[in-house]
Amino acid sequence: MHAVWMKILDEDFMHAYTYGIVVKYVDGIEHRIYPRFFTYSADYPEK
Amino acid sequence: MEVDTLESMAINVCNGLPIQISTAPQALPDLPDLPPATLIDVSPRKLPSSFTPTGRPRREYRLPKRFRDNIPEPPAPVPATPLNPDPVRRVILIVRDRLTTVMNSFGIWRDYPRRPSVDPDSVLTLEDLSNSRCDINTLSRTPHDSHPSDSCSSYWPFLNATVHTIMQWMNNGQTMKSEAETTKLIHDVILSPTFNAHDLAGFDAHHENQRLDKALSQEPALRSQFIESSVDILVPSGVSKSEGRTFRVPGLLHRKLTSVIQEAFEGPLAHLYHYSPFKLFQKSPISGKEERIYGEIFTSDAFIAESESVQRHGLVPPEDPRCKREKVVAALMVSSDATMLTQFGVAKGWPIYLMFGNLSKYVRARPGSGAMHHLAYIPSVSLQCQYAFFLTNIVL
Repeated sequence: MHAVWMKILDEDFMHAYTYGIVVKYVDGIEHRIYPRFFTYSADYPEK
Repeated sequence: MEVDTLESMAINVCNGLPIQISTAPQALPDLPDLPPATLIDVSPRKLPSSFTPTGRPRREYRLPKRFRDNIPEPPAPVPATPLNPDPVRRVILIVRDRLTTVMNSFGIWRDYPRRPSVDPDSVLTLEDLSNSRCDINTLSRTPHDSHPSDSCSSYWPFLNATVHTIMQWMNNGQTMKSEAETTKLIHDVILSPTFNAHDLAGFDAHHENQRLDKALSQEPALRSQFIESSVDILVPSGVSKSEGRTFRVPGLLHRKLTSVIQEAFEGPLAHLYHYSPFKLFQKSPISGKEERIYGEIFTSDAFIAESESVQRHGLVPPEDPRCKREKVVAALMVSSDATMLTQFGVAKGWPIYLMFGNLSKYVRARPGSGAMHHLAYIPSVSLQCQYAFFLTNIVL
């Protein structure tokens, strides 16, 4: 499970975590989005 | 403040040990670099107040605890402002445009720590707020939808609209022939204004399904976004002094997390995403008191704190240091669980889902809302791998 997360949290994500990603809202205004983890739900074997 | 304290402590120390300190550098010229930190470490309280005639520190006599009477006193007063403040002082003025909305008919109002740039709730319709119909089609569409129903035709990948509606009815998930299904067939397909019997010449459901499968396997279908890679896991041998073996488990399918986030914030539900956190309050109709309502990620203290921290300290990339875009938090909510894919057999999937706390839970939890994103499919360690490991242990 941890090895899987090492694959998912790649360098691009870590860059986005620090510096954000630019996305465009529906009204055309760009925002810089910083991803943050709020919840993680899994059952015991995946802990 | 710090300088003042150090000075006063240094004076105290000098008062306590006037001779020793002043004479120390002279008496010991070999050790001139007596670090000043050692002087500060010597607490003035520990120094004996007086000495006996023999030069030894005088013993302090204290009453036993049971005879001591501690007189109550108020808490320590606020330290007075120093008369000579440090002239070099930095003041950071944080201007927040706080906004409190008016109360609605339920006595609920919102308190934004900062004025929001967008209010996604303003586009919600009465049907979005009610639970009378749980159909995704009732979700309000984006008011500024720039690409309505893609660039390709609405009946993609079929040849015409009649075939499209028939195939849609066939693949609607209902496998049983029922009265409701037949009614749906008549009203939605045959009586539809786009229905044309001439379009069905040479119709074959099998061919049409094949056409659909072929179209879905091409770009930009979901499957093509997944990257397949393998995971290395270190398995301990169970025997002391022998190292564990690394097993390679192939078949991890995962998408790029950044592309999933980007896609979600620019997808069909993007206009419902909350960018600015707020606190939700209700005036209780019974007691008349204000009560905080908890219920969404974007009304939680954690989101407010994180949003504040990102807006104040969020770094901009070095390649674009003058970026003035509004900084927003994307609240990732991840979950994973192994599931059985069929009622019979051993087909098993182990997906990792990704949801966004920026979206209201009433939208997120709606079946078919498209708010849950597939992030990865985890491979299970196969029997083969377990068998190989078993063999290795026997050899050892």
